[in-house]
Amino acid sequence: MTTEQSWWRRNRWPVLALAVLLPGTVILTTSSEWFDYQNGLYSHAVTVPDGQSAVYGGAEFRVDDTVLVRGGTEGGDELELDPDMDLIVAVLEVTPGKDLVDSCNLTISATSPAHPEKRTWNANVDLPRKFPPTGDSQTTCSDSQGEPYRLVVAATVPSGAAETSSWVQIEKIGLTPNYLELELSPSAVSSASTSSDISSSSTSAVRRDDLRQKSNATASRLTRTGSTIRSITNPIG
Amino acid sequence: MRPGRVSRRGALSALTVVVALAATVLVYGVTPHGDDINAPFNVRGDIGDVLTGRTLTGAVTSVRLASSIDATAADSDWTGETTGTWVVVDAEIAARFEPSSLYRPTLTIGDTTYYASERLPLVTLDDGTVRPGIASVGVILFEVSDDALRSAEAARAEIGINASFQSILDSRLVTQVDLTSLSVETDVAVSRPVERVL
Repeated sequence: MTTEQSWWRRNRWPVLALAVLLPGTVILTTSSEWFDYQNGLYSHAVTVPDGQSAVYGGAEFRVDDTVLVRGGTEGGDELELDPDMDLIVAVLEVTPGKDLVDSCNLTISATSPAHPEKRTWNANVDLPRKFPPTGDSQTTCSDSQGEPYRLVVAATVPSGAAETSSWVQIEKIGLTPNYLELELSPSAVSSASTSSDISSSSTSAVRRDDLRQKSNATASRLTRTGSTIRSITNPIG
Repeated sequence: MRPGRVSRRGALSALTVVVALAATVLVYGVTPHGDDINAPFNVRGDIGDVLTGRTLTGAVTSVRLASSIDATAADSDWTGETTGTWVVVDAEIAARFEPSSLYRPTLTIGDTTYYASERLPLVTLDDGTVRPGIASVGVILFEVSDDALRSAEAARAEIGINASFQSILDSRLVTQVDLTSLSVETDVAVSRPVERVL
């Protein structure tokens, strides 16, 4: 006499096949659309640590200076900056490569103890009314001349929004899903945020055309001295 | 087994089929169909409630009815001539994580949905971009027929604020308001949006 096997035991192989095939079918049929969707967004940050440079879209980017002006200080008042806001100004050195791109989307992101999640503000719009002219420096990617240039990236953010970390983000058309994320010097931001006199000096720095020279001269704590400049050539662009 | 007697296994099979059919009906009943498949995820509240969705946070702070508009504070001599009535919504809205637009706020009365008026450009909230941590405080205007305002559904009108086209599969801030309890004012003053740090 043979003992009758249970239903599960008799059907173990079909059940096992179903357990593999069902999720496999779902993944196979949706993964293509998912990856297409993800690749159509700027969803992958190429993060560059403070003081280093990176190649993105053929051009080399490096943060040269970071200046923070606090609202409610003498420097902020000179710019007519809202007392409840801070102004972050980053000056980048850009060396164009072979692929010349003439526009990009610039944003500044930041975190703070009150807002540990990353928040992002458009750069070079909604600036204080008396934000100084940038002179020869550019306010968007201008590679077409083929010469190195300075790129000013500035944004007003709520007061204290960049107390923990801040970044400049660069998106060039056609390079999705990658975007460049350059870390701004934490020492620069924190020292400026705790000293109103440095904020005032920072204002001097952004008053004239050559922001870098001024900030070097008047607010040495805001410059990136001692930082290692090491080119990172990313396999993008 | 004697003929006509149902075995235990047969009864179990029949029960399984019934349960599976019932589950199918249940799942069909609770899942969205048609336009509802792309419906937004509504975050509901009343006037004054701060509502927070995926992209936006903010509140409708007051609602007024107006037969005419005074936009001189916004450097405009536009008076808002209308054969209906203006629903003037005061709101303060901020983005949560990244800059965002207010895409065509809506006023829904019963089955009718009105989009925010574009007749007063650069003054209403829906013309600008909102930023994280910085609320834009201003007005949104809806031009509504008098019949709709007199209907019973106007007591349960809904103001919808979202950041993308029809808020497809995204969150939408919905404020419920009783429009029947409001009186119609003349020359309601409106001005350009101002910013307030949260």
